[in-house]
Amino acid sequence: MPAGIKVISSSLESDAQLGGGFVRSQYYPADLIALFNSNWNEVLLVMSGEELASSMKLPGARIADLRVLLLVSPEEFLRESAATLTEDRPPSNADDEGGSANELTVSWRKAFMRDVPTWSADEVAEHGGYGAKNKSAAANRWTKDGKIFSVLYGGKQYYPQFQFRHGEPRPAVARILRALGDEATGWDRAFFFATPNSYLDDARPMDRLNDKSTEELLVQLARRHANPADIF
Amino acid sequence: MIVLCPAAPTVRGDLDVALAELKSGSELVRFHSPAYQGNAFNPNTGRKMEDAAAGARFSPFPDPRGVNVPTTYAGSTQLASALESVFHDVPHIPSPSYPVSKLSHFVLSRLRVRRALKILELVNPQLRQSRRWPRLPRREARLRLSGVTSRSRLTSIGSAYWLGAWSRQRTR
Repeated sequence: MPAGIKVISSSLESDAQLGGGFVRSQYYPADLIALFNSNWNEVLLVMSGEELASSMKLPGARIADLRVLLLVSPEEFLRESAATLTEDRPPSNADDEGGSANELTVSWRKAFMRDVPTWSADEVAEHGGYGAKNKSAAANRWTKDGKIFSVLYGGKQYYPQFQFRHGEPRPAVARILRALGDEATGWDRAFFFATPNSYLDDARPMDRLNDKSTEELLVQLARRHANPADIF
Repeated sequence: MIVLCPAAPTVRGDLDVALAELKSGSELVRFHSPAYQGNAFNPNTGRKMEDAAAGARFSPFPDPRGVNVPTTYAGSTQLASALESVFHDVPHIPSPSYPVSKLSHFVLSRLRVRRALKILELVNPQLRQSRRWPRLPRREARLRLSGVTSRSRLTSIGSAYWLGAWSRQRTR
């Protein structure tokens, strides 16, 4: 999210140079309220103190010590980032399964499609060794059975490859999808699998699907992701 | 590697316990599940302390009878509270993303403390994350602690408070 980093640091730089106003108490609570009142429906950028320190090129020990995340004013970020992201947007903005995706969400999805290998339904059939008659049948059946998921991007369904082993769905994926719940959209699921998780030493769940000893933890983390307030 | 809760150090008689007081009338902010009232404690039913992903920083943990102690998280400011709850699981990586749809799982309550509460203050950062800490003061029941606080190094963010409904059980 290079555009975001620039915006954030410039919006806070003057305060920081004056001696550390980046935790202005009137700033963050106001942002939190803005979050709750905003119409945003997907991804919000937050950044760590360390990241802020390095992006501001400050002798950052004090800032880097901050073991918290700094909230970015959504309006401010959106206003600045819209200019830089508009041109790169995929032709279709209808990738969020019904709603309209905001700029930041679009850029997250774009990064996902760039970084995470996916297959089309046809390719799922090919890699699974299924016949040519109805090529999307395998992907459709597995999706219906809750064994795999897809994301809608540019009007087409894409199936992340990490779900498969030797062309067949990994059993752990079905368990994780069940734990993520029926209400999760394809992109919700993608977000869980592709986001570094502190309970996995900041590895992504998609990178741990080979590790049988981690399966139970992945299921727990999926449940936690689906119901983040349950423990509070 | 599965991350397990770090164990608290062995308790010796000369352990220096820093105590703080949450004064009567203090205001706290809490983000929590709408399943509970703002001033209710989460019973932590069915969760195990040993499960890394089953709880939050200081919960769940069982009382001496093996029953999980009901807990509540709050902060002296909205930000301190949000960092401990809403954004608890956001990874410590550069520019992490957070799905705003997750916000709708939380409700916000503002609380006022009705009597002074004695709070264990964790001042050493290495000791700030353990579900065993709340068990620590058990042998010093007369302290009648109500919770644990961990103050940010940058005090303008505020303090995070964890409160346990276990002092009553202990003094019975």
